[in-house]
Amino acid sequence: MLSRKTQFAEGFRAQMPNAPGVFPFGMIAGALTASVMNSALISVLMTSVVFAGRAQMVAMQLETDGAPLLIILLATLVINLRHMMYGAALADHFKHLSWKWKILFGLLLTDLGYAASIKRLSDQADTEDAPTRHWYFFGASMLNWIVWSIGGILGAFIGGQIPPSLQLDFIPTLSFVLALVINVRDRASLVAAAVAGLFAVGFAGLPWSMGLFVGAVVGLAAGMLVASRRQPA
Amino acid sequence: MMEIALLLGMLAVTFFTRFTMIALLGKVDVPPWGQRAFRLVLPAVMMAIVLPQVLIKAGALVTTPLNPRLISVLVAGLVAWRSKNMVYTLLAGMAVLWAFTLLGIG
Repeated sequence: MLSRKTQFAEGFRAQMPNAPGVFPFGMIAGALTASVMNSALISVLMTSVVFAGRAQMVAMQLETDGAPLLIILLATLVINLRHMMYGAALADHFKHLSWKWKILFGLLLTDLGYAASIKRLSDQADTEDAPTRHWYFFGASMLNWIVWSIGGILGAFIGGQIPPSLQLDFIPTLSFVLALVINVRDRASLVAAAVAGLFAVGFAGLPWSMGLFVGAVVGLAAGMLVASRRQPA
Repeated sequence: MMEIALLLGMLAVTFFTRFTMIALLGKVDVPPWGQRAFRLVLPAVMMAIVLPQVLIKAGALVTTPLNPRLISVLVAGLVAWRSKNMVYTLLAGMAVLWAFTLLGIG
């Protein structure tokens, strides 16, 4: 069985190539938040503890527009609903763990952490390495969190000096392109992605960025349909 | 006060979405169709995030083929496919955006 330390180190290392995407994203989120919030402490905590970049960017935009608290929280909820899908996929791999671990992962789960770990977790599920495999996810998530937090704090203090013409705000989107390319492997995943994208665009006008969730759910359903046709149960 | 409420509220809501499924589904065995569905979550979610960023600008659909963000993502996708490397992918995509900016398009 792989030791906890080995699993953690491998997860940590596996996530390092994603750091160049995570760091500037943290900086941008930190900079935007610091420009909206009056308290420097709150803006640092917002980036580091809440640890939800996409929701944070939208929340800060809404705060700037003077939206009420409840609306901002609803937007945060809808944007983060995708984590429920990730959580559902991860649950099986974490079911042997204590509540402490589950709460910790409830704080650390991210898109890229999930993307980097899910295949490995599944591969180890029925092996002798299964009991320690959550340490891999922990390692990958911690690397994300550290890089993100450093970026966020740096962004909060010097982010105002990044010229907008650099368009660094597109980096978070680009950082998903690689994960997409890696995970679109067959017809079902291609259909899921294509349908999700089209529906998300079609419903982009919905409030609170709900189009994201609508797109993801419809895409998932479409992909399932294709998968079940090809592989009758 | 308002900012503390916003911080704690966002933390609570975010934690709720991350924790619930890990906690609730931790007790049941997932059927095979569920396993198949999980494999599709990432492609669906990520494309639902990426495509609107590319095709929607200021609330409207961008219909011109000379869309810097679209070309950026296509080039980045090609580089990602060939290299499987995050740095190259980001550089390729950003280089396209910067080239458009320098040329004064978009």
